[in-house]
Amino acid sequence: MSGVATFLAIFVVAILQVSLAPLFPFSIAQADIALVFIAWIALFRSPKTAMWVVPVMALLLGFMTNRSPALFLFGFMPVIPLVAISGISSSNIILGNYWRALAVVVATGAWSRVIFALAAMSHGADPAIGILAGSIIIPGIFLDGALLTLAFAPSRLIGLDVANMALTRGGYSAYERS
Amino acid sequence: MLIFSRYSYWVGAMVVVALLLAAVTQLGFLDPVQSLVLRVTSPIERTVSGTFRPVATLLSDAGNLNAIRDENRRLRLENESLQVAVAELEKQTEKIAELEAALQIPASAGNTLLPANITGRFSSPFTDEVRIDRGANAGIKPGMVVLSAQGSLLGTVTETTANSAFIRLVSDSNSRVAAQVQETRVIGSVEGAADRKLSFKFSEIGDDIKIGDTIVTSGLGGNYPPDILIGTVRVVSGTPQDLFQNVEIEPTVRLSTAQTVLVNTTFVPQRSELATP
Repeated sequence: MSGVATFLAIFVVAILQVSLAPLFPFSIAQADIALVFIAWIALFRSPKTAMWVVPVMALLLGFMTNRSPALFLFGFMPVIPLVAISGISSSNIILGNYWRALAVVVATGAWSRVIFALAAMSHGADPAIGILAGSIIIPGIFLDGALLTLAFAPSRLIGLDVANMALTRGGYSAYERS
Repeated sequence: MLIFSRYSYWVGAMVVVALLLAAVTQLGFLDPVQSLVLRVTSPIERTVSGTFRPVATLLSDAGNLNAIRDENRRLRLENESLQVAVAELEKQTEKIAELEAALQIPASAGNTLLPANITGRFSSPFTDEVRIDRGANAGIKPGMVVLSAQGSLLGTVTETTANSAFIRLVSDSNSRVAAQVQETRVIGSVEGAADRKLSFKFSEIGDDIKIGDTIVTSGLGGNYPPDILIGTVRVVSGTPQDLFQNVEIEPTVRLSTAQTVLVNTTFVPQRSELATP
């Protein structure tokens, strides 16, 4: 996937995040399409690509939603280190990688929602922890997990293999697909 | 751990970028870029949203069929009584106009309402905001009051770019609106919550509030014009030991499905006047 194609994909995903995700809420939570896309890039393309996708996506979503891009950046930030330390590797069985990827998306999804809730609370919103947990985080990570499953299964079916996450001193050992 | 320590350089770099972005955004250096991005994305967002909205509405309605039937029944009854009330009000309006003409009272200047379409919605945890396709070029300024197409309170403008404006809905957890019960003039504050429910706060135990009462803006504080419809009382609860009653409100406008809004460009909110040098 070339840089231009990746950038176009970021653009499309950001638009879907703002215009499509709010139409299909679960409880009061909505799916984090952008997070699942970043995880997919880290899993199936390369960590190097995902590393620049994160700030670009954060900037674009920040512009489109009038929230600080820094919030999105903090929200997405754990996904790449988590993918790296989760032990996802092409040598694992497919299902093993799926569960690991799911754990990464669930953890980052919860983290991201907490970040946004803390930002709102810092501006005066009531600290409704029960609502945050029961109506936002749990339904939200359920949606993210479902979305990841929808993205993971076809990717494997068409023969995409997970990228190698091991970093070398000279750069990344993950091979770049063009 | 070696892998993690090498990724930590990237995390460190991103923290620095995030802090820089926070500072740059705060100072408004990125506003022209944001305006350009919104000009490009708004039409696409509107198309995507318009295409999938019928599907979303269908799915949402299918899950609430019984509730919708009940609502429909209730609305038919309400519609009937409202038609009677409207007929009565029309008679009274004519009478007032005749009396004003007889007493030579000048007609009061109406509000200018600028129509706009909702192009995007952003509902992150505790936040409920929408974006419209009119901005500073159309005379919209932060603080202006935004109404639904039927005239109920929807929210306020928080920020504008050249061709877009961001609106904080009343259901946002940071929204506070000075309000009152229309029937009894009990004053309080309508506040949004994390679960996007509206409540009428600071009404004392014993204040005369009943289910079905109408909540309107009070105009106190000068941030909203008085007597804009917000919703009706749905739940009133509380014990004698409580300081305040718990009053939940059903908003008149269905905030999640509103597509067209009206921006009141005549009313100048108090906070805007204060902000003007």
